[in-house]
Amino acid sequence: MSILNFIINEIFGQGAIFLSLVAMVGLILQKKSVSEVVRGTLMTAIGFFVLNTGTGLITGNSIDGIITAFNTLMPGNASAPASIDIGGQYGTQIGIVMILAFAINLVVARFTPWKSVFLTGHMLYWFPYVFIAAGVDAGLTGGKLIGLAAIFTALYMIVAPNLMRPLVKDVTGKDDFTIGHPTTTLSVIAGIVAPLVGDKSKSCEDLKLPKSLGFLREVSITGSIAIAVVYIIMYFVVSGAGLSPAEVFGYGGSFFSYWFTHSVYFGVGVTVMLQGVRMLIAEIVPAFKGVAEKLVPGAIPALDCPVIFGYGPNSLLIGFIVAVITSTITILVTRGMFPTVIIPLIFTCFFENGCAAIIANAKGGIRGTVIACALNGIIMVLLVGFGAYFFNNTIQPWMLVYGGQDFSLFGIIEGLIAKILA
Amino acid sequence: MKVPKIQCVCGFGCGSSLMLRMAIDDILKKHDLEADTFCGDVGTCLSNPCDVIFISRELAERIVDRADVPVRIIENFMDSSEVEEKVLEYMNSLN
Repeated sequence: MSILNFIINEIFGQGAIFLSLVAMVGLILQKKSVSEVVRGTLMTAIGFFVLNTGTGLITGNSIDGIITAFNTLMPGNASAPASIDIGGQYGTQIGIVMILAFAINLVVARFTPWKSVFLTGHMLYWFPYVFIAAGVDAGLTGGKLIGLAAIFTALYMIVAPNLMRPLVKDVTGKDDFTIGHPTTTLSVIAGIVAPLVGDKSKSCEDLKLPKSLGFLREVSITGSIAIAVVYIIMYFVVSGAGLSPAEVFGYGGSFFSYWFTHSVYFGVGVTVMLQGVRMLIAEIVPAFKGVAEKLVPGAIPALDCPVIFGYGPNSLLIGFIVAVITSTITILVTRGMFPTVIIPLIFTCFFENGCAAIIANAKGGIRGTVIACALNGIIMVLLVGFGAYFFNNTIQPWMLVYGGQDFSLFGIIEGLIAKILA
Repeated sequence: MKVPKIQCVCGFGCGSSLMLRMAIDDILKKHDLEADTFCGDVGTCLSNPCDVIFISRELAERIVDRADVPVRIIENFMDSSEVEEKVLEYMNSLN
């Protein structure tokens, strides 16, 4: 029995080890050399911890002060201070869900006309992460938790890329790939709204945009700037409420050095996290792709949203700026309505909304892009706000940075079902 | 001869660049060529040691002035004939 316990708790109980084993099997199936197998297996384990360190830096060293200040100002609404570390504690469940959902995706692609195979590497990890978190938050454990998360991940991996397929075709004019990315909610909205309000003959891509706006495309920089602005606003709000910022934020020296390090640490956390994701998936995705190619002839890959960014760089930038403005206004208007602080959703405005902007431009030109992205800016804030009811015990701090799209919407739907089951 | 290190770059360094990396690996294998391939993101790619960078056109303009290794532009990461042509062109330029 003790051997069995060891295997369950020490091998499958450690997300890093479980995912390394997945990578190792994948590398062996691809007939890689011994040196490649050892390297890839260990890199996956290191990547797992680097990834968790990165998310820890964002939630622990950067946006923590904003959340603390919010909870101090609105104690009645405060979320539970000790949130559960989903990435660290539930790594194995995430790994199992990832494999189950991918296997279901392959079976559906093999035997039905829905030929898409979900290959966006980091999303193969993040969707199980979100769906496990929604289940844990609602109080599910064991088989129910894994089962529900696997059903949701599999349904998502099958439905979302097939919704995106006609929209991607409108942009690229071809049908050789689709998008597998949490942009789907925002992109579908763009695909419906833009043609109603706009004229696709007046494209964003015919405009000349100033080159000096280029730095906005670096999300670790734009994100840090946004966090810096939020800290300044919070500083004045806290002072205005008659509280001492030093006590609320918990800094000993000057506000300036606290403010500077917490803002820049956002960029640090993002950079570290990306490095971890890259290491983790660099070995796993090729294995998944190899399996898919063998089992599903004629598969259509569902890929990361930036693969269509080249089709509309101007639309992307216009959509980004519009969504940042409307989402920030929505944050200010809805302040106090949700049991969570909401900070500007820079990532969602750039990646998810950027993809939506390019689709909006293809279907409704400049006017379509501006109106669809303005609407998306509002919707993403509401999704993060409502999501707080379903993620406040688990990954709400992470959702403040990466939510506001399919993660929030489908997490909320799963959370509702999970609360019934729990 | 030294094995060249090819860095594939996209905005995040883990979505489309990984697809490109896998495409390049397939091409290298098909032509019996040897190179190390890895992924990077546009923000940090210039600090990763490599011999060449493969990147999309809209990202290339952000690094091309500062890069001290050759930067090869791929118009469409999903177009396997374009990727094949550009990889072979680079590999042949080494001889």
